[in-house]
Amino acid sequence: MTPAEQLLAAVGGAGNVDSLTRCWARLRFVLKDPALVEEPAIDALDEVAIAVHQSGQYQIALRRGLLETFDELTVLLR
Amino acid sequence: VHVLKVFNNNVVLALDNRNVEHVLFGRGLGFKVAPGSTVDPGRVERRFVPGGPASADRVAALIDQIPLEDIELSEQIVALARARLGAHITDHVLLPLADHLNFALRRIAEGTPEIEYPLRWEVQYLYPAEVAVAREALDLVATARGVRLPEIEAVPFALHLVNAQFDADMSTTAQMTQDLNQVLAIIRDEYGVEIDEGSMEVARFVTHLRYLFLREQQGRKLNQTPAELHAALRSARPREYTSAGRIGTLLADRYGWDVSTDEILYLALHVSRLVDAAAAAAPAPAKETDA
Repeated sequence: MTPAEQLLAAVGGAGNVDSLTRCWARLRFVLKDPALVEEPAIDALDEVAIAVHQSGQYQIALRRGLLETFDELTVLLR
Repeated sequence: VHVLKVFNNNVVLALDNRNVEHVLFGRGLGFKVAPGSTVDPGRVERRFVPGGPASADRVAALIDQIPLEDIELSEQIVALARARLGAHITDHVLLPLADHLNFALRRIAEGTPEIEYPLRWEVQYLYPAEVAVAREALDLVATARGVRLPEIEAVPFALHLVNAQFDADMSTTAQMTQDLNQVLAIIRDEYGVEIDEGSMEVARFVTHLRYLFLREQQGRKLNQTPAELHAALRSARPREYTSAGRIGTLLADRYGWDVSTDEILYLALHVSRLVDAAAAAAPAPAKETDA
C-alpha cells in the first residue's frame, strides 16, 4: 500500500472523511467519527512526523511528500 | 457593538455599527451572554476580523485552541514582517501563523523529526525577502522562548508571508510557487542557459510574475501598450516574444485566465533580460565572439 492508502485506512477509510485540506506541514482531516482513528497505526508510519486532534481536525504532519500524498488522497476520496 | 453568536465563555462573534463582523476574545466575554446583547468593551482583550478563507467559526476555533502567548509572539512577527515587507501583510496572516508557530513549538517539545517541506528549495530562491524576514522571526522565537527552531522552519513562515498577497488559502501560493519554478525551467530548457537564481533579473522577473498572478486573480488588466511597442519587440526579440506567449498559454490553460497581449509584452521583456543576463554570465560555447 502507498502511504496515502495506509493513512486513509488508518483514519477509518474514505467513508469516515468529511473533508480534507492541507497547509504546508499538515494534512487536515475533518472526520465523521474521530474515535475511529487507529492512532498506533498512524504513529507507526515512517512518513508521519506527528499526528494530533486539534481545532476539530485530525492533523497529520508528514516528514516528506506532503503534496504528493495530498494529491493521491484527493483522488482516493473522489 | 453587539453579540451575534457565543462560541464559548471567552470567544464571541460580534457585529459593529458599520456591520463588520469581529471575533472577540476576552475572559468571561461570552459567559451568560445572549445573542443581541451589547458587548462589554472593558472585557475585550483581542479582536480579529474574519477574512479571506477564514470563516468566523474557523477563527474562533483557532483562538480557542492557540495559547495567548503564541498569538502574542505571532503579533510581533506580523509587525516585523509588515515593517520589512509592506502593508499587504495584514492581520489576516496572524492566526494561520500562530497556528503554525504553536504546532512547530509542539513538534520541537515532543522531539518530532524535522519536516522536509515541499518546494523548500524553490521557496528559498523565489522569495528571498520573505525568507529573510522568516529567519528574523526564528530569532524572535528563540529570544522569546529560548527555543531555536530548525532553519528549515523559515520555509513555512515565508510561505505564510507570501500568501498574504492573496486573499485566499495557501493552495494558491503553493500552486504559484510550482508555476514560477516551471516558468524558469521553460526558459532554462528553451535557451539552454543556466539561470542564476540569486540574480537581480530573476528577482525582478519573479516579482513581476507575482503581480501578474495578483492582477489575474483580481481580474485587473494592465494599461494598454501601443501597438508599435508590440511590433518593435516582436521584431527585435521574436524568440523571446514566442516564449512569453508560451508562458501566457501555460497560465491561461491552468487557470482559465485571459492573459492579454500587454501581459505577453512585459513577459517578453523580462525573458529577454533573463536570457541576456544568463548569456553574459556564461557565453554559450557554440557562439563566436567578436575578438
